[in-house]
Amino acid sequence: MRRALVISLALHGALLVSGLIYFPMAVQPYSSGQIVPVDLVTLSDITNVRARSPDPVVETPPPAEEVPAETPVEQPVEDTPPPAPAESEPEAVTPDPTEAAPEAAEPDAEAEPEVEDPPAPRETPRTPPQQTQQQTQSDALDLDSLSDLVNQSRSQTQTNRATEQGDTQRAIGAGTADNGTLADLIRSQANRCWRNSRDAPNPERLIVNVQVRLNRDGTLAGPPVASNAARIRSSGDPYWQVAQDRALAAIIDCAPYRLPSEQYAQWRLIDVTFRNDTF
Amino acid sequence: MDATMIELAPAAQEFGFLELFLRADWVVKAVMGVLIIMSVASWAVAIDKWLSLRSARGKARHFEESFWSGRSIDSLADEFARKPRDPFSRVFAAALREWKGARSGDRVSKAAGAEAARELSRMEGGLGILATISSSAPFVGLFGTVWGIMNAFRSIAASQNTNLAVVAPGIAEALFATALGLLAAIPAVIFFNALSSNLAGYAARLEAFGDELSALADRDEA
Repeated sequence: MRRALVISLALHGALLVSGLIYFPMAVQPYSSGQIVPVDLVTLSDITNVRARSPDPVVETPPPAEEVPAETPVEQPVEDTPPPAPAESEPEAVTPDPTEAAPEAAEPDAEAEPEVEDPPAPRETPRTPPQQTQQQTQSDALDLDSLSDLVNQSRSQTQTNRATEQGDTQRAIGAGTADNGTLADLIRSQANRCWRNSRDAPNPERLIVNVQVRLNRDGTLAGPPVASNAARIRSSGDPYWQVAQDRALAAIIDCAPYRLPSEQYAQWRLIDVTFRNDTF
Repeated sequence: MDATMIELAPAAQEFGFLELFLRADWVVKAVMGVLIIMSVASWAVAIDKWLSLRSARGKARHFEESFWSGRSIDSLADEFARKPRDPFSRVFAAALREWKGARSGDRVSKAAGAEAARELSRMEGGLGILATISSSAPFVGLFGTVWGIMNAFRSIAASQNTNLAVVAPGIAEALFATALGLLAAIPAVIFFNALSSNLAGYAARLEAFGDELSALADRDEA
């Protein structure tokens, strides 16, 4: 028994020594990989993209022929595409002296050549937001590309600056949604070819649902069809008929459309709604 | 790179055996001590039993070879029964004591059986310790772990900090108690099963030898 006890103690001693040697080595601190912050994004049914907020840096104040009465509240917040060239009125885009690039907020497509003139406001505000937004810049790439496309239709200069800076996160989203729908993307691109019917009586009823069939390159795969054509015909409303024709013409005229090609399955066949009640 | 290595090395050393033991609560320390004693005892008993069983089997083989080699009972008795050293010899000696007179077969059988039972119960002596250790060590270790984790959670409550770094050392040292319990219990279970099955084989041989002796006594008488 004594011999067995000695052997047992020797074995335990050996185990203890090996444990003393091995145990500290066995603990490897976890090498935590790079932490990727993820933003949870809600996909809303309607586009809820806020226009660019004014940049704080003022380089060249615009010609101050107007009184700076309005604060930047005048930015379009709703899901409407920018008004057609015919609609754009000067007071809707009142330039504020404290506003960096008032031309950028102007949704008029015709205003583009004038906007090109002063390159200074486009260059200068680039650095400060870039530093603060470095994280979101690298992460939300999809969002950026999509919102870039939305902004593109609004004004060319705005889009240019946004893509250069890559900080469109700052500008979009009222906090309720961060994304634009594909249907609104198509409609906003078709917007410049669209004559609306807001001069008709009761324009809010003139809703036209257009079913668009597209190829992968954005061209039309077939003639667009108004999916509520039967209702329009049976209503006997000439204004509605005209609104339908205008919507179809707009879709045809403005093709091809630039859409995110990785989501082709979602916009291959898509319904686009043209409304005449919103501004 | 060098800086990180230097920084990580002391952090890794904090989880050595001794640190885990010394940092633990005194209840956990006591549990660990009991478990270490249990482990030492179980190994000692197992080694002792294994050695004695091995020598007993070697002697039994030698005895059986001599016994069935055709030698006379008297010479065998001279060799083995005078100074019996192993269970077979003792059973043989006990049987020889009753091997006189008429109708000795029954008495020889009883004497051999009684001697065999005595020998077997002596050989099985330490197995109870092994069985106790194998069944109770995990619970003892678990008790230490539960106590240590309880303390860890109490320290969370006291420090108002749910950071994992607050609890991790306490839980690590608490789990060390369960590790020790399993470390003591697993060999004890294995040894107990192996030894008891080997002992059962030996006991069968010993009892068979007693029966053969009584048969021989019966034939001798006739």
